[in-house]
Amino acid sequence: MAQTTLKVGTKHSNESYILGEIVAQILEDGGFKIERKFNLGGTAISFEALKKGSIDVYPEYSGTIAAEILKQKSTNLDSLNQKLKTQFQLEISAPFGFNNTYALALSPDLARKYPLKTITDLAAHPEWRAGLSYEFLKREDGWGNLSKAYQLTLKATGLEHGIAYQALMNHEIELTDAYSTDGEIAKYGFTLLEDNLHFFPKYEALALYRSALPEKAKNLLEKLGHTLNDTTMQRLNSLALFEKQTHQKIAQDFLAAQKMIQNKPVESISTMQDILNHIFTHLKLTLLSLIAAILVAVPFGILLHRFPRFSKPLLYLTGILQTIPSIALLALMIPFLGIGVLPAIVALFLYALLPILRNTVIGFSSIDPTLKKIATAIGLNPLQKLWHVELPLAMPMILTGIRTAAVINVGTATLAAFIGAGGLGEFIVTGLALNQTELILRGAIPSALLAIGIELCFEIIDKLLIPKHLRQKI
Amino acid sequence: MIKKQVIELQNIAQRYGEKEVLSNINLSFSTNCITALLGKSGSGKSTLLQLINGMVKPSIGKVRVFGNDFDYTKAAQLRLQMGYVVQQVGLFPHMNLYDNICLLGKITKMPLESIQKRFDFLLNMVQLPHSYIQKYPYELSGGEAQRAGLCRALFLKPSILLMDEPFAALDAETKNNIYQYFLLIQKTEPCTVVLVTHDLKEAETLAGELVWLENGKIIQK
Repeated sequence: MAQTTLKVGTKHSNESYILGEIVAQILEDGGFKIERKFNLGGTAISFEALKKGSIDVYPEYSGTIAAEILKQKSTNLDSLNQKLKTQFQLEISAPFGFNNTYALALSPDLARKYPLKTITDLAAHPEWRAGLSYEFLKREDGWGNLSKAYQLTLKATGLEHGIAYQALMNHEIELTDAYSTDGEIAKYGFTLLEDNLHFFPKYEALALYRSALPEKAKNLLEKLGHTLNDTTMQRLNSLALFEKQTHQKIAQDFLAAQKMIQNKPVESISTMQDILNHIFTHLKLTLLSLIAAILVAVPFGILLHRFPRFSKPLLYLTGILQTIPSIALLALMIPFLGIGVLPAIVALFLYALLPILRNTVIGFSSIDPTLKKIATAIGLNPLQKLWHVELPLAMPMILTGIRTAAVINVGTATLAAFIGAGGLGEFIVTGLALNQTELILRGAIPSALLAIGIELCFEIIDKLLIPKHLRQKI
Repeated sequence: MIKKQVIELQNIAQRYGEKEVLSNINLSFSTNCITALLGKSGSGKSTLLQLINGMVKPSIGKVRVFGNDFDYTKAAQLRLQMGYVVQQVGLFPHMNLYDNICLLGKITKMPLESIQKRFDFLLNMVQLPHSYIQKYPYELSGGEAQRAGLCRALFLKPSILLMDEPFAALDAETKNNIYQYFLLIQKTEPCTVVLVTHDLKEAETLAGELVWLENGKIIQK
C-alpha cells in the first residue's frame, strides 16, 4: 500500500521545532511519510494553514486555542475539542504533559536589587522598559489586557523573542515575556514574576490536527499524552539552545528513551549541501516571481503609457501593494493559496510589479516624441515602431526597474520562510528563534551574496542589450 | 500626353480648432521634379508636407497619391514609398549607422544581400566612409548625420521624397557640399521631391518649381 503523506507544521520557536520533530518522528515510525513545514510565522499563519489543509497537524497550546482561535476564557480541553470539531473539523490530542504558560521575566541583577515577587509588584516601576514579543503584544491574553488587569503603565515595545533575553542581560530592557519552559530561564537565572491574579490561562502543549487525519495517526499522537513535564521540556529546550543539538536528534533521543520509536542513526546532510539546497530554493522563489512580474508588468506598462489617464491611479494602487508589510501580505495569501512555495511566489510577484511597471511607463513616456513621429513617418507600423524604436529606447529604464525588483525580491524572499516556502530565510528565522548568530549568518551572507550576484548579472545584461552611451549611469 | 500626377491636393483646408492653417489648396506636383514650398514659419508649409504622407488628415478636401485617394488604413504601407527627411534628422540613437540606414530594408524583409548592396551604394553616393558602419548617431557631425538621414529615406527607392527644412541646421559650406550629393542622387534615381524651406537661395539651387505660401494660402507658383 502506498504510504500516506502527512504534513507537519510548527511555529518558529525552539520548543515548537522540538515538539514538531517529536510529532513528525512518531508518525514516521508509524509508517507515514512526513513533509515538514516548520518555521510558520505565528498562530495566525499556522492555524490558517491547518484549516486550509496545507498542513495536517502542528503543536499548539490550549491557552492559545482558547484565547486566539475560539476567543473564550475557558481552557477546558473537552470543551475546546468539541468546539474545534464542530466549527473547524479540527481536533486536539491528549496534552503532552507540561504547561508552558506565559510569564514575565526579570534579569538576575534587577531581581537582586528589587525584591519583586508578583506581577502586581511591577506597578511600582512605571519607568521600566518592557521588550515584548510581537505576538504577546497583540494577543488577547497578552500585554494589552494584562496591563489593564494589573494596572501597569510601563512602556512596552516589540522585540523578537529570541533576542529579548540578550537584551535583558545587557540591561537594554528591564522586562520581557517568557515561556515558563524556555531553556534560558534556568541557564541565566531569570526571575519569573508570579501571576497572582491568575491572568494567564493554562498553556498545555498538545497536537492540533485535522479531523480527517487517519485513525492510526490519531492513535500515535495520543501516545504522546503525558510523556513530558515542565522540567523535561526545559531540558530539551536547553539541549538545542546551549548544546547545539539538532531538533531532529533531541526528538529522536527523547522518543527512543521513552521506548516509543526504534533508535536509528540520524541521517544528516553536510552543511555545504544544506546551504546549497537553500540557495537553490531561494533562487527559485526569486527568479520565478521576477519572470512572472516581467511578463505582466512590461506589457501592462506599455499599455498603461498609452492611456495616461489610468496610469496614475494604477501606479498608486501597485504602490499601496508595496506598502503592505511582507509578512502581512504572506499571511493574507494563506486563505487562498495555503502555505509553501506558491503563495510566496505570488507575494514576491506582487512586490516586483511596481518597480517594473513604473519604470516601463516612465521609460516609454521619456522617449523623444520627435523620434516616435519619425518612426511613424518613415513607414513603421505600430508594432514595428514598438519593437524597433520604443522598446529599445525604454529598455535602460525598464532594466533598471527589473534590477530593483530583483534585489528587493532576494531580500524579501527570506521572509517566505514564515509560510513554509523554505529558502535562506529558514536559517535566519531558525537562527533568530534560537538566538544563534552563526545560523543567522548562514542565511544572511548567502542572500547578501545573491543580491550582489544579481547586480553583476544585470551589469552583463545591460552591456549586451544597451549601447554604452544609452546606459543608465548609476 | 497627360502625365499621371503622383501627388494631388484637392480643395484642402486645414483647421486646428478655430485656427485655419491652410485654406483653398489645390496643388499637384510634377513627377520626378523637385518642388520647393517656400514661406515664413507659420505659413503652413510643414502641415502641407504632412498632409502628403498622411501624418495629418485634412479637415476639408482630398489627398490623392499614386492616382488614388489616400487610404489612411494603409498609411504605413504608403509611407514606405515616401522617403522622409527632417531638420532634426531623427536617426535612432540606439542604432548604429548601418542599422539606421537599413531599418526599412529589414522591416520589408529584403534579402540580406540586397540590403548590403543598397547600403554600399547609398553610402558611396553620399561619400560616407565605410569605417562609419559601427558609429552611433551621436558620433556623427551634423552634415554626416543628415547624409545618413538621406540614405535612410532613399533606402527603398521611394517614388516620393518629402523633405522638411532638411539642411537648415547646417553651415554654408556643409550645405553646398550636401546639395551636390543630393542633386547627384536625384539624377541617378529621380523621384518626386517636395522640399519645404524658408531659404530662397536653397530653393533656387535645388528646385525646378517654386510654390510660395503665406498665411495658409498659395500666393504664387
